[in-house]
Amino acid sequence: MSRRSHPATIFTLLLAFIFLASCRAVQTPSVESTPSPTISAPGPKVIPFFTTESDPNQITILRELITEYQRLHPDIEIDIVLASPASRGRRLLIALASGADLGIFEIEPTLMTEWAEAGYLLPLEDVVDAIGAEDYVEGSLFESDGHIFAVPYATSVYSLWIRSDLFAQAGLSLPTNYDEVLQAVKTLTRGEMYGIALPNGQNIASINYFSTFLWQNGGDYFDCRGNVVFGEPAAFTAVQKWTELSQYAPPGSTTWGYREQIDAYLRGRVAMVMYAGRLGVNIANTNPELADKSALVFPPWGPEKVTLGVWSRFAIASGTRHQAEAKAFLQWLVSGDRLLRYDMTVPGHMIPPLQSVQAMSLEIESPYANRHQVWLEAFSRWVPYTNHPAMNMGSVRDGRFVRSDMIPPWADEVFSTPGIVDTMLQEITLGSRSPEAAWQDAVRKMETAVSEWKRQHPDWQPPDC
Amino acid sequence: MTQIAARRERPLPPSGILTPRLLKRVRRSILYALLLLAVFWSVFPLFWVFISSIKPDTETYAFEQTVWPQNPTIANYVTLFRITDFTLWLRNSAILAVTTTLAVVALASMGAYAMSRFKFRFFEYFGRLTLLAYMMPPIILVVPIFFILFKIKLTNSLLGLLLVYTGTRLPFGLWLLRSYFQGIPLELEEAAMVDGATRFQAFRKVILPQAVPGIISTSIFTFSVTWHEFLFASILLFSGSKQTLSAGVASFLSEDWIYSWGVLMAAGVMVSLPLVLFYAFLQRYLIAGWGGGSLKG
Amino acid sequence: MTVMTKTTKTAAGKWLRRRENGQFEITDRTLAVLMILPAVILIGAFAIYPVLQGFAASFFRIESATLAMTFTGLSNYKDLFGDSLFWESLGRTLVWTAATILVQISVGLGISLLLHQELRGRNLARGLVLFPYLIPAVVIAVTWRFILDPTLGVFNRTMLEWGLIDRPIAFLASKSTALLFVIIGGIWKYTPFVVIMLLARLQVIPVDLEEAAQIDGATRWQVFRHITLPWLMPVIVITLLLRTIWMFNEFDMVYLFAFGGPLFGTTTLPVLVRYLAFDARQIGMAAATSSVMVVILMTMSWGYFQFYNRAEANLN
Repeated sequence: MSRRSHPATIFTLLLAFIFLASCRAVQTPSVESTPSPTISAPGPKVIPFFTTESDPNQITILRELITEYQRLHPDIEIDIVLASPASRGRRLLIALASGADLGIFEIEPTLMTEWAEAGYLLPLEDVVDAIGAEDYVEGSLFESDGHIFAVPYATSVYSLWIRSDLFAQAGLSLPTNYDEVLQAVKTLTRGEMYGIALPNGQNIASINYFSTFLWQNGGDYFDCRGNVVFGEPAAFTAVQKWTELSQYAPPGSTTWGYREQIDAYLRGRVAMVMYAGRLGVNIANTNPELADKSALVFPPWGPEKVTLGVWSRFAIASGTRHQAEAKAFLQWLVSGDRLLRYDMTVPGHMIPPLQSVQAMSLEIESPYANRHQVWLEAFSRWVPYTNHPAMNMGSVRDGRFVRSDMIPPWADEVFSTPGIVDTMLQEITLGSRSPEAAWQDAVRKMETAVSEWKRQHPDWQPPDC
Repeated sequence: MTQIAARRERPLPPSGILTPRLLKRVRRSILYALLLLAVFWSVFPLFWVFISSIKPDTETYAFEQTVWPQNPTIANYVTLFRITDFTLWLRNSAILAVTTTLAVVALASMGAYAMSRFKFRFFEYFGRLTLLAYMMPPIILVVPIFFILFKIKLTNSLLGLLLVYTGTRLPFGLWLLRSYFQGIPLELEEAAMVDGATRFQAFRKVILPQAVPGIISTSIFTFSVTWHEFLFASILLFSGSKQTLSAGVASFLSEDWIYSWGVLMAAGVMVSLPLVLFYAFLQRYLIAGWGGGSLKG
Repeated sequence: MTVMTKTTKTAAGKWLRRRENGQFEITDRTLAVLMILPAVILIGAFAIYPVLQGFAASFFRIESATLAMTFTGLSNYKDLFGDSLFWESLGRTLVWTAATILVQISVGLGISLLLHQELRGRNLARGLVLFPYLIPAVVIAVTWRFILDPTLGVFNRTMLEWGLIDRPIAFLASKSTALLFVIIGGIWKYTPFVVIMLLARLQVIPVDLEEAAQIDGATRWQVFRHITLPWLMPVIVITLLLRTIWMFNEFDMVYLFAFGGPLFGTTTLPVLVRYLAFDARQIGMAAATSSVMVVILMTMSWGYFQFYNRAEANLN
């Protein structure tokens, strides 16, 4: 008898565990109403809302905002779904292709043209106009085929974070040009410390960061008519500088992406790291002392002033059941006070695309904002100098940065990972190929990919410029 | 292991020091050492997950990381439950894992019994064909399965996922249980049927208890694979209220970085814990050696 | 009168039979079909049919956005076989499968025999050695990567402190060691599965056989060789078969450990399929790769079936 009671006890515990779990779930506001959106039921109109932003602060505020909206509109239910970035594209695509209701979701620039052409995206000009098209920062709105298919809610500016204390100790001033950076990494790479963290893995971080080297040194991947210009000498200058600095990056950085290089900085192992505003917030949370020893400069890799900027945008699925309601909610969420609250969950990292809201964001009082106002202002100031490899074809002309607002139509072929640029960087830093050979190979591969794309799309006309 | 056993049994010359008792002691110490090694090897990374889950992020990011948390905290768990529908995910995963396990055990034991006792040629072909389920990478299967479910209006539904899971876990159950039934002599159910039981009763009351360890292995497998399944869950379900644990936890692994190491590790612990409990529950039966003795009679 | 003969001899109809009191009852034949039917339907719909679909897809070019299909015959296969990345990935898959399987089975057998011994604390140990199988691959991969990181990880730190190495080594950053560590991770995660399977089988070993043999003066080795091993054999073969298929197809542990890199050094076929389907957006090529994998695995399983039949025959 007593022997049997053990499994029974454990089973009861298990049941109790699950039971408790479901009880607590009921208290969560977002699941208060009946969760299953059946077609015939007269319940609330459900709008699915996909997000990959899993930062605890962001989710908390987003849930608050949604609860508020649902109180204002009792007939609407916003169904928030946390999606892993790895599966998101696939999940959305399959569901879109089958006509399932997807509601609102974040969309990557590389997918925008293709999905718009396939008819998956709802045109959102009316939403933008209602918010005020003229209030949007230059480069944040994006037209394709005369329509706006995505509404921006934030941009991140990638800059160089620097351990000012180490620089001071070594008698160095904060770097303003490449030679000073090189001098600094040589001086600061000692023992368990490394000069700079550069990601060299086969991932998007490597491509994005290398792009800043490329643009600043007057190079680009394509010109505005869609020809490959990566073979020009300016590009090789960028490759050489990248390679040179990578020697002073920690061992193992040959496989790193965003995450590892940030970890290295947070643990105080590197003197410089490139990242956007979120790093500042995170340093302040996890290592406040380090926050006071950190400074921010515009990346100084070459003569031209340009860096990486990543816009975050929402789109609405054209097959969604409640189109008007979805638009209304989106308009509410990405404007005015709501946008401000959402973007201020990670101050400096999520810079509002609306000029009015951006101005307000700099007035906000918070312990972080008060202490690091200079960072927040710098990020806002640098927004006009941001560029993105998949957004601006031909953005560097005659060595100068000019925003082009043209998506290279083959962006996904060239910039998906493991791809051409990241593989080139890893080959060089792992020493399996000389910089020159790897670069020339990359140029060849890029030309092949582009001409293959053009072969498959004979109707495509190069834009006038 | 087997070599140790073999060495122990080789007749040894009666030398002065190596008395049988000493030899036995040496053998046992070696066994204990191996046991300890196996346990350490298995537990260390999980231990690391647990330790990291009770460290505040300030400690995880310290220059000199310490193994033991200086200020242990449950804050990460609190955050986890606050920002996510974790409890709801847990419920969905539990429902799916339990129902899938029950369905697989029931259908697999019946199917395996039919396959082991009736020599239709079809059964033989079918048995081998089922293994196709595991031969193609699931990524390729996602699209066809999505469209099947879409046709029968079962996308975004736990029931649809239950059908998919049951269909794809069944082949394992069929194969394993068939091997168990094959080892059970025919005379057992004949005896029962002579006593007036129908064939199905004989199967249920006499044969099934003999295969309990096989059923338990099947359950552990089905339960844990279902619990961890991520690809199908993340593509076939698209309501927040229907997420499963593993799909939910995966959303914490952003492309950029892990927003909070501690929260991710806490999620890892919470995902593993129910499985550990489930196993502890089943293990009692495994140890009790059900059915093991009765074969003697 | 045996059960088997009853079915065939007394069957007036094949499927239904009239009892003496005039009522109909189903024959064993019908019972067998009814018992297996639900499994056949579910496996057919969700396992076999999708595989056939995947196979069919390999003859098409598929638009990544609309999933529209154009028939292209064998061109996907032609492209695939002309691609050196495919052959390299195939080689790595075979290395990965063989290495993980061999160690899993032998270590798994060892551990299950160890846990079958009368040792103090074995119940606890039985629970603990199972842990790796119970933790999701996502969590494990992140943790392992973190532990192994040359700058941040505890592994290099400890090795440095103990003086075993004089500078940190980036295990996952070198083409030569990355696959090795991925293999170690795979072994770590899946050996417990073998332990569960074999330990369960050991529970139902007819004890009197073992005892009788020992009384007859058989050595431990002889008991193992002639009693225990044949008893385990059918389960070992099934475990081998399924684990081979699963390891060949393993995605999570390989991908999340090293993301197929560095320089494709850990790109096995399933990782290649993901790359083709998601990143390169050549779904047709991905389907072709998958079909080739199915063919390879079918050939391998055919070999296992021969073993399995022999193992079962031995037991009887």
